[in-house]
Amino acid sequence: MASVAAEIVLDHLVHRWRGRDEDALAGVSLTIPAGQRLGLVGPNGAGKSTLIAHLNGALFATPPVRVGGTPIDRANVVAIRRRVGVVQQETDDQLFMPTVAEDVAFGPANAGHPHAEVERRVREALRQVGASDLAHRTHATLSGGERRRVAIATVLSMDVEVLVLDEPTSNLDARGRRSVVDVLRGLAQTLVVATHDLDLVRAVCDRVVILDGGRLVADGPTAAILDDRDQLERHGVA
Amino acid sequence: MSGLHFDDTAEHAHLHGTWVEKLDPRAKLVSALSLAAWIGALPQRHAGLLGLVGTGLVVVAALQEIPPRTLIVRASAALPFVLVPAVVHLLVGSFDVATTATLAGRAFVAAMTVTLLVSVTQFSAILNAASSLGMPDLLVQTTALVYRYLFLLRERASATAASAQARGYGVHTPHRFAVAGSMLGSLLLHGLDRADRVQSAMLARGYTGRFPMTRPLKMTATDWLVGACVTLSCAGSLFWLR
Ligand SMILES: Nc1ncnc2c1ncn2[C@@H]1O[C@H](COP(=O)(O)OP(=O)(O)OP(=O)(O)O)[C@@H](O)[C@H]1O
Ligand SMILES: [Mg+2]
Repeated sequence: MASVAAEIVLDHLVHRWRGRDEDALAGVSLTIPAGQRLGLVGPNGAGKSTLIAHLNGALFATPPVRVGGTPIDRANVVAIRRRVGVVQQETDDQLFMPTVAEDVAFGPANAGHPHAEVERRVREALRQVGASDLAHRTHATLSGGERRRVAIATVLSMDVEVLVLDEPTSNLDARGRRSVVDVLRGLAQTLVVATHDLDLVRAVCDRVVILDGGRLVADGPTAAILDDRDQLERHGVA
Repeated sequence: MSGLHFDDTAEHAHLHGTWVEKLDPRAKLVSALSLAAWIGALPQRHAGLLGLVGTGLVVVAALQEIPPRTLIVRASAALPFVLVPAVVHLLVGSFDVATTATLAGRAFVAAMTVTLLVSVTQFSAILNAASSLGMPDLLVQTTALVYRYLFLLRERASATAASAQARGYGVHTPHRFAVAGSMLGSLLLHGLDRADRVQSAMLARGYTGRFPMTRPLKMTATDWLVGACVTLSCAGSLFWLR
């Protein structure tokens, strides 16, 4: 259901958090072609979540990150957020409406779609993540795996071109992880997945970059990166 | 339920298929408001009727498969607000047990009414109804934010309570009230912190400062009938009891 996909370009992306004396991102250049499934790995504090925050205008940079040529800046941020969806690390923050259906409807309703279209998208997104029967539950009553799938649905319903996920399998058991992997494999969108779960990367991604200390230290096809044990260990990824 | 409804969720029919849930939210909102006004305006000497109304609400809730306990526990959230006027009464020297008790009773039954309303109506539908009944937009949007914040806070509160109990917090805890105080503090801080993160999640999903309201509303004969019956019986009985 994704519309025309767009390429994402990071040109020497730098970010320093207020009050810190080191860069969280120290010049990351990266081009993510449309339709690619990119795995973003690296140790705790490497800058993965910071990078993700730059992909949908939660943070801004100069020069700006570009999506399909459009710079992510204050003027474009609303339009960008309709094209790039982020599923945050904490599902508790992602889910904030009383029921699952209302939560999944929130994005498309904000985009101003008529009621029938919003309903259709909610139904479709819940179906895609295998959560149709959860529509009327409150999120306090969902299991960890269910929450995660619903969190993904809240963004899928926006019909984004690029889906960005921060740690989509953390705190999940084997079955929960498998169900998230199945959902991700079934999607057509460009994917950016930040994770410590190398099995997920192997199952879903076709390209992997390693981030360490805010720098891009490796970039290549999934198999090549994951089979280099030394390199993975050197950067605390395995 | 008047909003999103899916055929493939038939097994949850009991949660969203009752006739009360299917009523137009405006009918329910007007009914709830009339009842709340009635509760407030009921003359002191007829305060016993509050018990009757409370029982009626419990029955209606039970018919929606909302257990009485749930209704009562949720409505108790309003009780702290009653303590404030009671303390004020005490301070100005006009404290009187009967008045305070009735006040508490009114607040509690009114809270039950509101609890029942939000249990059988989607939150966005209530806002939609309020808006189409002429509630000013600023007020609708503010209510939406406040409600969402209280909702998060309640969730956080039950998580905090559960983890405190899991670590042995209870009536035998030494300095129990001091501990409760600092728990409350951290609860509010967590709440604010979370409100902040939720705010950014909302922005990420296209929130531009307005809660979306796309749901079409439609008053049927039943909706008119229910709204009119409740409103007229509230007004009529007040007139009669005056
Ligand atoms: N809001 C913030 N304020 C200050 N510093 C921050 C903030 N968020 C992150 N940082 C710092 O920026 C650096 C990168 O953090 P980031 O969260 O991007 O890492 P990460 O790769 O996502 O780590 P993890 O695997 O633990 O999720 C860290 O040193 C972190 O302490
Ligand atoms: Mg992170």
